[in-house]
Amino acid sequence: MSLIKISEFNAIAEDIHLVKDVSFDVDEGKITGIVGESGSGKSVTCMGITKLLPKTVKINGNVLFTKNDGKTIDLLHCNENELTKLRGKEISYVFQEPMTALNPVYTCGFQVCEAILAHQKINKNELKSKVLNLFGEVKLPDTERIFNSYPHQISGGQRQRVMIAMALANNPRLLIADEPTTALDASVQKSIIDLMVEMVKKRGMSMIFISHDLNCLKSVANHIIVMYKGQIVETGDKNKIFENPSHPYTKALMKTRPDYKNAGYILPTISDLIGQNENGEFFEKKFEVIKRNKNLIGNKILDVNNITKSYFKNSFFAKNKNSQAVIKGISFSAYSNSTIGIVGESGCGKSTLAKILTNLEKETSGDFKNLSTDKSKIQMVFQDPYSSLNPTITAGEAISEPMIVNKINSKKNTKQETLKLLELTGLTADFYYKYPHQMSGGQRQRVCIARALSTKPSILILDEAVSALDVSVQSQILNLLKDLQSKLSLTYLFISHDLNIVGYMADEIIILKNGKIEEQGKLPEILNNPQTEYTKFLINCIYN
Amino acid sequence: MAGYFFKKLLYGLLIYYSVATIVFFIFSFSFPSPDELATGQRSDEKTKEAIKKEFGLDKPIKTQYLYYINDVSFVSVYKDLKEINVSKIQLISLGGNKIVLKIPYLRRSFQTGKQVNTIIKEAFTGTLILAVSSILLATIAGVFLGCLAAVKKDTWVDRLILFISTTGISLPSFFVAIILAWLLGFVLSKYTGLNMTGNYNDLDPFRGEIFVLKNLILPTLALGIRPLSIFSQLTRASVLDVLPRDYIRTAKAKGLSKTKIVTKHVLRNSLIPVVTSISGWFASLLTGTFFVEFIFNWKGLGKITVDALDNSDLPLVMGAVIVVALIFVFVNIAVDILYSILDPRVTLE
Repeated sequence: MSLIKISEFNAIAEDIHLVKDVSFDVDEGKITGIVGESGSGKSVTCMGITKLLPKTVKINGNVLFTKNDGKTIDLLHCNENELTKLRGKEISYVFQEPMTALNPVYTCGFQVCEAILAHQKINKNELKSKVLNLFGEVKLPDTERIFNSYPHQISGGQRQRVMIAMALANNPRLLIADEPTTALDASVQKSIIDLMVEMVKKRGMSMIFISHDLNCLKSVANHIIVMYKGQIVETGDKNKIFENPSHPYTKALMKTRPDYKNAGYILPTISDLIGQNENGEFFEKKFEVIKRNKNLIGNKILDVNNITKSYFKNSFFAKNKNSQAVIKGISFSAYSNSTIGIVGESGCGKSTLAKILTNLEKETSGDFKNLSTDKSKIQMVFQDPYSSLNPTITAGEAISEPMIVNKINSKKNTKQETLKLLELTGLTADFYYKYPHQMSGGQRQRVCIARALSTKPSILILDEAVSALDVSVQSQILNLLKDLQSKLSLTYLFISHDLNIVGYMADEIIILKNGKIEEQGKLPEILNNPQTEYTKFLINCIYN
Repeated sequence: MAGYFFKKLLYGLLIYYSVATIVFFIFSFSFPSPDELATGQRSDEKTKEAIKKEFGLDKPIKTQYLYYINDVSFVSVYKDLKEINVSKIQLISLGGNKIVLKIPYLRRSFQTGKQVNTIIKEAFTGTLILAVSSILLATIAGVFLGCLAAVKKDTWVDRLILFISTTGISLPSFFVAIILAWLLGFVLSKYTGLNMTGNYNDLDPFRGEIFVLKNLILPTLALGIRPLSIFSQLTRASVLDVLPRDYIRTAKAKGLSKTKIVTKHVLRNSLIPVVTSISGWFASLLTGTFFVEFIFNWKGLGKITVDALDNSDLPLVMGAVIVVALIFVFVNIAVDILYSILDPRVTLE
């Protein structure tokens, strides 16, 4: 029997159809996965059914929900009062970013208590023991301490467990999880997904699990819905979707994933694989697999020698009293025209290493030598192109600024050079006068790459440079990076938490754990024959 | 925590002594000396000498400075404690010298010969009452209106509040004071029962000194209207910043009512930036209410400071400046504590 029946659901904001004629059912006790890129309307649909969207988004359609007492109601025709009674009690949510989804000024315990008190009358002692039980159920350690902790005092995975406890507090019938693991480390991701599936099965609940990653749904969902540009393009049983996808977009999604197996090839992008005719129907494009020329690895260009970094907490009386080592002795060499992948979970010291190599931070001991001759500087591309570009200056200014500051070119040449860089990164000359808000995420990251290249560096540090981008944009940027490398013989230090992407990009790989190198070597060897438990565990989390 | 207070206290003392030093040197050189003031036309040398001696001005400037710092310190050394007319605790005595713990001794007024401590204490009570009542009015009404405007964004309520607060910001307090005094204290005084001017305490022929609450109304309004407008706009902006945050969506998704979301989750987070402005205003209200005090004939710190400047009453001016510096130091520490209460991410370390 279906618990929730969505039919002809539309969401419109300022005459733009965010979601168009979406219909699907979720059966009782079943898990439905929704997959799509950003802007596909997957989150809008799931927020929209309980009217959690801002008022500027107009919604219509029918959402029939069967309540606990057996009555069926149309959620879109309920008033705010009725919905408030339903939210958190019969339908609850787990959101993507557990840091921002919890209120920073209240304790975790308080926030879960509040969710219970909103729907139940319960005395104080009972309430606390109930919350502590819930915390135990979601496998939080030291429940009493977490109860009294503020969100910033616990780890990301623990925060997400608190969110799950909050969502389960009133025994809801439907749990909507909106990318609940995207912001978490790979190893934590798996345990959170396992926990959610376990909880849902144990309580006989239904779940809608939203993700941008098709692979992520493999171990979760019974039923999968694929969304693209606000519409459902394919729905079906999990096995059918994975083994025999029928829609061109679903097929494209599977092919465009970077992976160590397709490392020697140019990645197909979504637009390479599908097109849309005048009637709006999608069709498959023919795509020929093109092999890349093998990179000839050049001379040694960077020598990192036993670098350590500790942070000191200065107290009023004594300096350097409490030190905390973030990097504990890292050594490696990099060669021109090659890529070193640096993999590790958050807190392993990979970003600190990048900051040391770019002289944004000073190492505590050890040193590194840049052995390149004519070009000297190491440049960096950051994770989030939305926040790493100044919103008040144009792309042209952003790219030319490093050249002016470092007195590389005359004023006239600077503009010429900037236009060249735009072309090199696949942008047209009119981007010179564009501001960040006028560009898409992929275009912004191209500007960031052009900016990093403007001082003609020999080494480029890519710190999670494609992590914030959608699958289709990701493959475009990865292709661009590979092209630039062979054109300019660049050395990349490719920092990422995603072993798949590193597998596609890197020649050599360094696995970091707690500021130490766990394992390092040639990529295929490490992936096929990992030596340490930790590497095996990481590979297992991803290749599953 | 203890370390934090110790550190803050040291910084505070550093500021305090720097201000005392600057004040001493600026005023010692730029003010006419008291012997000229006190004697007026009759200027025979002997009287002048006597007056100079009385105020210690016959000594070299270095010695004068050391005496001054000794007087304004919290721990000081004296031979004779009779002159130092402030509350004090004697710690130890060494030979003829006595070391005492005391509040700063600000000396005697050139003009009236009264203890400056006593004059400032009286005036400060008036200012404190006025500043507290205006800041309370401004905070409560400002935060409420700002919140209301943000929640009702783009409706007539929002536009009305924006209009009123923009007007409020652009009105100088002395202008508002005159208008209010004239309108409510004179033209409409039959209905309002308010006076144009008046102090917080008055002498009643039967009951002695009494507190006159109604005299507080007009100066509070005149003084509070600008901070009120500013707080309401700040709160509005801050609430609009907090409303689209993820944790507000979480609060909504767990089934909290709108009132609960606003009062519990939105307000506390929005107040964090507003507190900075409130504290800044409170400190300046405590010290810079001269115009309003003047117009309403309210006995306060602003009024006596300006009178003292007018009369070149050096000890009184110096005392007032030092008290103001102390107020700023204390308000700053208080605000840090308030921050750590509002936002657990802020720790006092």
